[in-house]
Amino acid sequence: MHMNNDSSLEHGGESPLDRAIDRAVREMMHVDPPAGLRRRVLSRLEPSVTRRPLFLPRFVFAVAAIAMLVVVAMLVRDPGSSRVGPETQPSVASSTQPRVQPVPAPGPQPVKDSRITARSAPITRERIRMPRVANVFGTGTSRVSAAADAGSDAVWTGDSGDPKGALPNPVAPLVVAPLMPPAIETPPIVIPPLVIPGPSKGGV
Amino acid sequence: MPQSTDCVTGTEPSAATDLDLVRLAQAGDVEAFGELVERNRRAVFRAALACVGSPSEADDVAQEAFITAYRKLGTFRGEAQFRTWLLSITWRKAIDRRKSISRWLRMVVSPPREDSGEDTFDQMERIASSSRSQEDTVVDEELQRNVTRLIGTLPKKLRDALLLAGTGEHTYEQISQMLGAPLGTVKWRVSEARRVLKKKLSALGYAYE
Repeated sequence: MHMNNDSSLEHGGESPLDRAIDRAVREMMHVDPPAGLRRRVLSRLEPSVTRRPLFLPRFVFAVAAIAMLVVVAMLVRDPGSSRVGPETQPSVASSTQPRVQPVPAPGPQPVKDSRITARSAPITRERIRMPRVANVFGTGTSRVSAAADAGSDAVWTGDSGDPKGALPNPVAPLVVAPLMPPAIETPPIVIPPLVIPGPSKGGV
Repeated sequence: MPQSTDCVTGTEPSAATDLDLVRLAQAGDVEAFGELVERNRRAVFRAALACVGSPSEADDVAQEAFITAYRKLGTFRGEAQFRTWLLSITWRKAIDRRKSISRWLRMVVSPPREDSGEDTFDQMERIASSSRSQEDTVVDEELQRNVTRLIGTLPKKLRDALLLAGTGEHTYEQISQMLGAPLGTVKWRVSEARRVLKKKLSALGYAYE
């Protein structure tokens, strides 16, 4: 038999017990592997081989998809962000006043109550030019000295009656052009169809 | 001598040697590695079977060994034969599996009788009994069963050497590499295993001659 080396006792003179041992060992060990060992081994190798090339495109696609979502979300949110005033200062202004008031026709108009006018003016980013102050404390009789500035046509409209010295030139009302946010043109987002290459046999 | 012809495994002989196939597999040719699996599957399976004693466990070990070999293929430099290198991996895997089986048996089943490997090798006894040819049935079946059972009671070092030498797939040099023992030691273990078996059989009443 085939104890494949010089330990084989299958030659003349071996005892029945030697033959019995050889036979027992042979019957124990001469078992063939189950069919399909090669296929099972290769099937366990293939995924690890083919997984690597597919990993990078999938990862890139995932990142690109997330980036696109972020861009879309930003574009959707962006038009609202141009109305900085009402959104960033909503608590007082938006609850008590209308956001946009019709602007009166240009031209000098008498202002009945400057406080109301100031309050109802739409919030704008434009720089508001204030009248120059000549004498803050006035002469003692004048209750509003700031209005004494030359060229100013503001009128005192306090509650306690007419001032003794009415100012000749009342302050012209502020005329602010209505806020017109520029239209944002967003090109349509075209998502190219995803083409995932199928796993190739051999994985190389 | 070509490396792949050390032991015939029943496949069609190919012009490429094991080393050629290893080089191709190292370059990523999975089919070349498949050919290596085909050439060495029996040697690997039987080495695992000699260690763990169960064909299903041996099949698992063989798969693990081939997969580990594939992953470590880059470390193979061709200084030794591919089969020897592969069998060393297989033996380490099989030893790990045998330890886990023994642990499991100790936990679940009653303690082993004479040697911890006996329970595992009871399955081998059934395989040996079931695979007899018609001619073999002439032989005393009781003697065969006793021999198979007594092989399971041998100390592991003796049993491993005896079974590996009896596979018909491994040379003494390969067994020496697998077991990590000198060649002379392996031969002595095989001889000693046979001596112990015969002594036990004679104690059971079987004649020496």
